Amino acid sequence: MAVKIIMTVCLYPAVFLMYFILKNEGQPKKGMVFGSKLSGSRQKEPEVIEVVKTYNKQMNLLFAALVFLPIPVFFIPWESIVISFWMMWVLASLFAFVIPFAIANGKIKAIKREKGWKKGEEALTVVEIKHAGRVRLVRFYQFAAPCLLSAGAFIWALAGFRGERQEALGIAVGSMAFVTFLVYFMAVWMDSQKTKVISTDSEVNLGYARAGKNLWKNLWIWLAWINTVYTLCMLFMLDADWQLSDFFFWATALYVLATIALLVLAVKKRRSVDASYKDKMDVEQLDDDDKWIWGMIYYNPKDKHSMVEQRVGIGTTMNMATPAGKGLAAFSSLAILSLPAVCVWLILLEFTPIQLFVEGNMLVASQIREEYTVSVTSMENVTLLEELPKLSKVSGTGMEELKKGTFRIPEEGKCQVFMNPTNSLFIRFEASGTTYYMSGYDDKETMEVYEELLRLTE
Amino acid sequence: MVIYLNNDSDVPVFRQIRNQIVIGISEGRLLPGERLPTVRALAEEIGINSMTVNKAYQLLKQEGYILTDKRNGARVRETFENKGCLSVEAREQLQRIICEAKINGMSEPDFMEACGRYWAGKPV
Repeated sequence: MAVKIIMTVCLYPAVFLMYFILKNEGQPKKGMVFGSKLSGSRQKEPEVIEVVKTYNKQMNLLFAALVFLPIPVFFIPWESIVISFWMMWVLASLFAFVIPFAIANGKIKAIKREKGWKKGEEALTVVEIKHAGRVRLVRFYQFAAPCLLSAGAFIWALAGFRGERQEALGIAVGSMAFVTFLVYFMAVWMDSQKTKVISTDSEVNLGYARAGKNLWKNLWIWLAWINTVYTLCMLFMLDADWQLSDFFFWATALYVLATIALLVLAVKKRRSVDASYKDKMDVEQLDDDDKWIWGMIYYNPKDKHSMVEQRVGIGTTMNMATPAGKGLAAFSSLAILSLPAVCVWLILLEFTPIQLFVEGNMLVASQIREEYTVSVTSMENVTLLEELPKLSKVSGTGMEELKKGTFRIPEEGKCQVFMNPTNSLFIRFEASGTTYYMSGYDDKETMEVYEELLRLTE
Repeated sequence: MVIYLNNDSDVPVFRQIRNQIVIGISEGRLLPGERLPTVRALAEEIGINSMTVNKAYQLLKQEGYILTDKRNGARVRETFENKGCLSVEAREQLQRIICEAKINGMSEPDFMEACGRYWAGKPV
């Protein structure tokens, strides 16, 4: 049930987010409709209004379908199926709404061509040269404290908080510390991007660029601090021996919420900056629709800028024609394609029964492949347990009906686990300085293995 | 100062930059002694190779519109040589423009009126 609640809380808002963002972007505004440049008067033409109507209908239908689709998942007992469903559902929510938007964008482009509204300004570049390269607001000292704290946390984790070296801790804290540095590099990168020309007055352009870049700079500084605090929490959580799964959950939830709140605040501030410069905007934005695939993906091989202001939503987007853009596209595609593979793996894990048996002088634990092979002669203190101590996962699989890998037990420290935790009998033993907790597919198999082990160790 | 560059134009980008800076100086949008962005900064802002901007600056320097030095970068000249006449290249261009106007059926008074408008710094 916990998995269902976590998946619902974390993923269900995606459908509302995508629906409201794209529905809002589909409404004519700011000389643009469906990511296509169109002046205010032309936005009121009947053909355009018809496209908007059709789009709204399609969006509402999709929204209704996606909102109610997850209801049956609450009646599915298998964890892997539940996770797989949510993964596929969130992918569908992210991409389904793009389809009507892309169709509407294509229709608007076609209307523009048909009516001769297209200006053919694709090849034009407008640049403010007076302040080129002079609006740079990001300095390293602004990020020095979070970067140093994150690096310190990583070094501490590697050195071993209490004299004991912990690889998993080092990797986890190191990854989060790396994000802090990544935030700094992103801040520098975004600070060096081209400034938008909104006016023929250079001072207005300078003020607008400063306001925009200052907002981004502050956002990155806050993100660096939030990430650093989370890195330090992680160092504390992973190193402590006592049960901290609840603390970990809340810290992660707070980290995600704080990041989202920060982004929402940045969007609101950006809107207020735009509103305050609205009357000073006297440069008409170029009609470069052909450079925008579906009105939302920027692809311009003649533009060396890797980041440009995005048309859908607020913020920046990548120029997919640059090496950085291609890299991001490849990485995103890989990440998306890996999701179905992860789902198949999870289903395989849940539906392949675990096996525990004694072969010759070896205890073998296998599922899909051989997981553990322990020599019976090295075993000590073989006991049968009817109740499991509280386990927290360090690495491995932690499903409701399958736990395998390295786990932590408060009084014992790290141990190796291979079991179906819904059983009522478990075998505990020590071998070569490592503690093992194991079970068979069912209690009968566990009992048989336990008796065999007792016979062999006596 | 805002400039427009056309990537599909037959006029090379370095010449477009040069032309727009000259127009900016003549219209007073770039003042005598005003600092121009560095080659690298302008190239990054436009999204082109530094060599292209460097070529435009070299041309402007050669023609006497700007001064460049390693310490201060590029600046618009404080004073310009008042030769009182057009360069050979500009004369050739003017001749070409007049010929085009004639072929397109433009009358001399209309042409002179257009020249007067541009001379007064009114929009093209």
